[in-house]
Amino acid sequence: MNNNRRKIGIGIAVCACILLIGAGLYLTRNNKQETQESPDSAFVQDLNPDASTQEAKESDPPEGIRIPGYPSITIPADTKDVTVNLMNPEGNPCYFTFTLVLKDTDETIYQSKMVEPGKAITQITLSKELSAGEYPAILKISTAALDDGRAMNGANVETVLKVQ
Amino acid sequence: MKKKRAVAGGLLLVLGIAQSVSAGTTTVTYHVDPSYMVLVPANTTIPFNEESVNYGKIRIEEAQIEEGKCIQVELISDKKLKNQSGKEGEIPYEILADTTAFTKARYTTAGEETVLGITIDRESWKKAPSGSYADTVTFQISYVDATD
Repeated sequence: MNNNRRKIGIGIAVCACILLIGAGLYLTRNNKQETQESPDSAFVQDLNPDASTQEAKESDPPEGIRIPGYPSITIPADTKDVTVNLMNPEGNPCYFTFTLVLKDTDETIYQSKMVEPGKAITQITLSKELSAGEYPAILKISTAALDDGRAMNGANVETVLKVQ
Repeated sequence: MKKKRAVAGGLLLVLGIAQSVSAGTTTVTYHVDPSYMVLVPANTTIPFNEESVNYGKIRIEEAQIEEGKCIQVELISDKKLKNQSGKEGEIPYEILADTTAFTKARYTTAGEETVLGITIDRESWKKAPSGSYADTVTFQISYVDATD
């Protein structure tokens, strides 16, 4: 009777050891795979911290880069802090960097950091206040690929700043 | 008697409300600012020795624009592919819409598009070091009078 109990106990202990060894091997193998799948990246994104997520429209990823158009941008006069909507449409393969340039003087009055696809900058600080009037301007959009930061095609969007 | 008074009172109330509703009108206006979305090719990378490749398309994805206006898309490029393998070498190229060199196009409605291609002269490839070649172009997008 005692012998039988001893045998059963030994059998249970052996099974438990086998299970523990197997679990350890499984976990070790998984950790190695995770390490291999996360390569180092030399590209460091300089993201705009104020960019907020936009509501995503249902659409397939574009076969190119979607550029939003701004026939005019209305901002208040005599203040540097203004509300705009500079967006990088969802699904784009690149970060956007926005630069706002006054056409008549070639003066840059705003430059953003990188904006991820699906996000927009809504509050910006201009380099100077503008008095009321209309100012032809160019919104320059430069791009950087999401994976390695290489420059992709860009756009200059002509617009009119309506300062009121 | 009470019932008749209640019915009469209810009728008066309804008539009174109807009269006040029809007494004035309200005009509601809503202005939709013009806006648009343009799809442009993402990059310009050409495999070695290729003389003609597809370059994607310019397409108007959204267009809420005023009557008499249009969206103009122009190409800004030095039209020289640069070697991406660290070797010195530039290759002149041309961007075509169908068979003609693309410079600019105008659009008024969503869905309009221009299919683009890139061509490179065979002789240019012969002079160039091996490797892949690429360039970045800038699309100048403006909102102009259609009659300009």
